[in-house]
Amino acid sequence: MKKYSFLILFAAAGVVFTGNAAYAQTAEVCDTLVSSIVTGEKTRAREAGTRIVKAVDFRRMVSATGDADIIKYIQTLPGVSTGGEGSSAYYVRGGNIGSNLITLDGVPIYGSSHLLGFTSVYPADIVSDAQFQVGGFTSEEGNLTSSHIKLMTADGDFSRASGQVFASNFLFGGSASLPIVKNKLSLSTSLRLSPVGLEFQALKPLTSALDSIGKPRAIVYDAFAKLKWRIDRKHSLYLTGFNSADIYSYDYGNTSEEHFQWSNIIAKLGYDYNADSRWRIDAGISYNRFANAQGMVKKLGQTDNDLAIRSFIREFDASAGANYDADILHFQSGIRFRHAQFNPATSMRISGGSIFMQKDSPATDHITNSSTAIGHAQVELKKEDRYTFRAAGRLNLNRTDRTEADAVSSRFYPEASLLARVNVFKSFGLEATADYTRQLYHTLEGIPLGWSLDLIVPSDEQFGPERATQYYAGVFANAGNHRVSIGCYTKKMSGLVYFIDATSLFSSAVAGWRDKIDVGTGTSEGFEFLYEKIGKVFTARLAYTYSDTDRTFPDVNDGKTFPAKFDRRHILNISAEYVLSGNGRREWSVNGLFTYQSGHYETVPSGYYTSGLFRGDDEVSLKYYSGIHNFHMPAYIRADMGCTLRYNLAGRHPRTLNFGIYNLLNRHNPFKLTYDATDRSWKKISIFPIMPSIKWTIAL
Amino acid sequence: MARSGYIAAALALMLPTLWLTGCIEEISLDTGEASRVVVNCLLKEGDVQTMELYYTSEARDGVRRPVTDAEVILSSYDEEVSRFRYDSGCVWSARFTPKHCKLYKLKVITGGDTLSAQTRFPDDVDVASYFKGRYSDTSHHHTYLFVSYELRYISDTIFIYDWTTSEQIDFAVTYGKSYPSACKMWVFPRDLGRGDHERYIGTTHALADDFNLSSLFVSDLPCFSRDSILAMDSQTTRRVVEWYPVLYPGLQLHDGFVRIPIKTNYQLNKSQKEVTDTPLNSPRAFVLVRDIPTSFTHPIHSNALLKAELYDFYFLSNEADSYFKDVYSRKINKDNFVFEYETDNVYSNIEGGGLGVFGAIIMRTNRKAIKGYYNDSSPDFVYSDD
Repeated sequence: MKKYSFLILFAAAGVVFTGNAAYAQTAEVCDTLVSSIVTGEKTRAREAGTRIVKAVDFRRMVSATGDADIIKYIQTLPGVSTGGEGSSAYYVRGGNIGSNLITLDGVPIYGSSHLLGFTSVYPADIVSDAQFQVGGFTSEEGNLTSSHIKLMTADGDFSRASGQVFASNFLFGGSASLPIVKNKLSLSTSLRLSPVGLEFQALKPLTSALDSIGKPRAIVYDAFAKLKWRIDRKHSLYLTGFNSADIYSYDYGNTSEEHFQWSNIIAKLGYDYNADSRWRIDAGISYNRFANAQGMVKKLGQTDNDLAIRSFIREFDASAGANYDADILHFQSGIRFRHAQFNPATSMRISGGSIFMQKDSPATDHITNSSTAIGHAQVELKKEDRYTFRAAGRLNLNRTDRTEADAVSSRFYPEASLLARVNVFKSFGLEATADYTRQLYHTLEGIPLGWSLDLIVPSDEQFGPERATQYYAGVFANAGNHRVSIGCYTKKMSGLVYFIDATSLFSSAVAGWRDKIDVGTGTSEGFEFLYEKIGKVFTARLAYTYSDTDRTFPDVNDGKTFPAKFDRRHILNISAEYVLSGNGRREWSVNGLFTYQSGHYETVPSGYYTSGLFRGDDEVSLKYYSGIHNFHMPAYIRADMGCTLRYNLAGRHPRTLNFGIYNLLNRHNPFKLTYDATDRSWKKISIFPIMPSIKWTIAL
Repeated sequence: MARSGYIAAALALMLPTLWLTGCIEEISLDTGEASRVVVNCLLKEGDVQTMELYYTSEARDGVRRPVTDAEVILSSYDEEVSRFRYDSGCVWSARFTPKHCKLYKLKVITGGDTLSAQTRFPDDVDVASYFKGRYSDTSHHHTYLFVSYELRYISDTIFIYDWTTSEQIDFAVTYGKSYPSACKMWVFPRDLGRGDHERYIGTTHALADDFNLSSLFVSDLPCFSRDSILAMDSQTTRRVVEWYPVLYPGLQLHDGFVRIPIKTNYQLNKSQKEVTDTPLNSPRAFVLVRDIPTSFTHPIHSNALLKAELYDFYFLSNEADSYFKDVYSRKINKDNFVFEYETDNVYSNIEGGGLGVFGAIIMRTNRKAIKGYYNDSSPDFVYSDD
């Protein structure tokens, strides 16, 4: 209960200081996309299985933390089911949360959320282009079975300096973009910090419910920098660095001090060569380290007894690729070598008392080295607004060496994706995708929050890769500014892992995770509908998904098939923006979002009983479950509303004032269930009530 | 409006939102399931057997609704050996003395439902304890002595002489054939009134279950601190005690007990020559460690430690072992918030839709033995299951 109480304290702190006063100096106030093609009212035809995520769309969204988050936008798209209320967890076409890949300039981000899953680690301001791929994957995409959020960062400005600072209820910071050498070398940077630790300490005296939680502390930040060097018209180099950390600790009564943390370090050196209008070559090397840890300093008498559980992934990646673009023929190929070192759930002593857990001597080690050589290629025939045909393939050769067991395994994994999109008429067409994908990393999910304390382990001789075969077929139509797509998908998954003992995720027993995994299968079928209307004054989108997803594991639920936890049968998202007035100097607009999602499934006890112990007089209260996911929660319903005032547009410093109300209906959507021993009743806990926000931006 | 005015307005808007977040509301969770019958029965050594029989309740901490009208038959190899009669509350009892290694079946007929389960009564194993150590010279410097434990069949009792005084001691010593079969052993440190630390126990046994590992190590136990060892009143006791933190400082301790599921023929058929002097290399012996008393009333302190009943050993049938491992797991994790997401049912061997367990258990304390293996061979009867 103590970690959960900590969660409430976090969210409470965020709301108390609701208000998003941003003092910004920036040349760009909304859409900073570089690669999106938006000319007039025409929208870029998107490929089947691809959603272009425009910065203006996700930055406009009202969120619980007040900060723009691309994940919150993606959670409103067809085929996407959300996890716990307010969290960053998302499930695409029946996959698990670990089946999704998020990359930043091509480098995976494994710990993708701040604040226990409530917002993303990467600031929206550094993203120039984002794509959300759910099918018809390109050949360079791999190690996923559900979706790929591909984030490309913006280059620094080569001609003039700009920057901004901001403050919100959860984060404050700034970004800068400037030329180091005009038209040659640019730098873009971003830094965000969270005052949530101070907010905790201010909030705690206001409620007695958290008296058992003492000295809450938090350090949360993310930092980004990118150097881009235009060597000449054809050659360019870039160096990207990203670091994020979430570090939390608190005292529990007088008996223990608990810590948990996770962090990302990413560095990439990339090279681009644009030989001519047809040929382009790119290459890159990167380093990626994700680590999470939890620890406890327990007082026993006069002694501090420390124990920490740490996990990390270190990846070294080198890649090279070539692209050829002719009139209608597009060819892409490349090679990649990735070496990853995993050390999941290693236990060790820590130097007690400090919020920064220090590594001492490991008591146990579970190092596994996983090396993968990849060759990929794709051929595409494309004529804009007529047809697109694409065939993509990957060959993976993976070798895993588990040092503690002296076990080595080598496997060959092919993958393939097909995509077809044909305009039968000018404004009507058919589209289809087929994907056969493999995923070499397994995520052992403890709690479906999308937070970064889940355990990530490689497939090896004991647990093979996850596999998915997915088919999608549908129709699309365009009429002026209106666009509709309707389709159905079916997906079969195997090699799925089920973490049987989620409780061990927070104890030293997690070191024995191998004995707590069951491997099984899953299926998902669904219907997706998307309508978009894009105009100067009025923009709207309606997304509806009907899906049915299940799981089967031999040692779970007596081997019987059961519904996936976030198998939400109906998901409806309606969003709109309307420009109330605009005269070149001032512009008012309002936007809103309504979401209706069928309740998710919970496993609740069907009965209670007790057991004595064979030694002593204690009795233990036990629960009996008639099955997994045997209870359907109430539907999730939420409405958000925002209003934007842009003024001084003709002046030197345009300004923007955003008002927003999250959860306008003040509906108490369930976050989790808990049993109240005092009342002897089950309770539904909701985190986010109606929450206003405000943000002010000024461009320099 | 001046810049500062906008900021002030923003702050003013924040003030009305100073209310606490989060909302907790009651919710009705009704899966529509009927109550189940719970059977809790552990056969023990002795001539009276008891069991609990009741229905599950809809609410946690609800009142137990006993089963008072049922036919409960205990049989062995298809032959009825006893019947349980209703006593009071949820308790039923039967007069019967189980035999070691025999299979027993329980049948409960109530309300049209028939529940059944079977279990095997544990073998009559015993726990022998003896010294393992090394002497380098007669002054007993650079020596150490460990108390190690083994599972044995007890076959004989002899007297030995005290090696320090050469006097015959009224001292029961047992030895016997090593125990070859699989068994589920649970070891609890005895309560000696020494405080919080004495609930922790460590072992070198390779098969020890780590599900209740604590964050403590052997070096954390107060009895092994430097001050504590220096304060010991006997060189002999110190020689016995001080080597635990020297050789096992990083041995992680279990909280409350240690469960050791021993496999069939675990490292059997090791000859006398293959037995080395250290418990680390012993094929069958294992070390147990806990917060131990460092002064004894017995004049021969090292032997007192050897003879002292520091542990209670329980041997459970496979069914009881699986059941209590799940029960203890829930007891250990009940304050862990992730425990709310634990949705596995506790193990049960009650067939026919019942819950609970029908198992068997015996208890032993350690008895001193001499080092070595006399008449080492497999007994005729070995039942093997892990």
